[in-house]
Amino acid sequence: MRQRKAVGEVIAVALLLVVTAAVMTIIILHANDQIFSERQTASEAIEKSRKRVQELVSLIGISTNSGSMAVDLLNYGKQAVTIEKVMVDGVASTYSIHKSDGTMLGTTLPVKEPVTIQIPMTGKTVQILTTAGNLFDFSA
Amino acid sequence: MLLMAVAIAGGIAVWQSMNSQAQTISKISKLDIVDVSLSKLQVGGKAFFSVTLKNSGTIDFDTIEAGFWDDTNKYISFVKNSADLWPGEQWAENDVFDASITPNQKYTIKIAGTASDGSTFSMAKAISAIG
Repeated sequence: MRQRKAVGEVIAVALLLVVTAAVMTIIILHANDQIFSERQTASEAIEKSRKRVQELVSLIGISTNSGSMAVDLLNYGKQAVTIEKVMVDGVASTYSIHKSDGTMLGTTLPVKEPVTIQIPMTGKTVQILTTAGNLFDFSA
Repeated sequence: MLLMAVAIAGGIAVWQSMNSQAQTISKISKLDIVDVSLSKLQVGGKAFFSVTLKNSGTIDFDTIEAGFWDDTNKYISFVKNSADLWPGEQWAENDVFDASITPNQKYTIKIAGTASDGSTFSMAKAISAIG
């Protein structure tokens, strides 16, 4: 009888330990997830901000022809700039990027190379939004 | 044997109850602002509003909203229904709006969302307009 009681107590203690350990594990994992998630968000925000600061684009000039505009730009930063959207007076427009020798580029402004953005629209201002979130607002 | 059975049954009941509570506690609906900007465009009466949000919680969001009040107190916002934004995922939106804003002035950005379990999240942040 005494031995059976002892076995019961051991099992009860073991069960309590298992339950306590399981609950503690869940709480610790949960807290860890939260801390890790916030740290990751902060680092993503810093990275985005860092990329934005490194984007340096200078306007050389804007010329307007009948129904179209040509925006001459120079990326004088240390990294290529990728364009997400080109707008004329806040209205999104199609565009094409050309090097000075006429070679057509995709959506990227290469480093230290003058380029021309051809826009089939005219307006008072041109906005260039980059994938890093920079908005360059140029007046014609 | 009876005592052992009671102890085991009790242990299971406690475990299920605590596990259920832990799961409820671990359901967090939370959105973080990774990036937000508000710029006055040179062309009059227009503003560029851009926002990147991240689901930092543990449950997916069905609806997301991000907006601001301009100088005339007009509320301008992005609303994404059926967003299906899962934990860890980001949502970004940008557009030009007819809005009256003043560079260097602070504007309140409202972020809100409804999670798939019906819980809601909302927050506000003040940012300075650029331009």
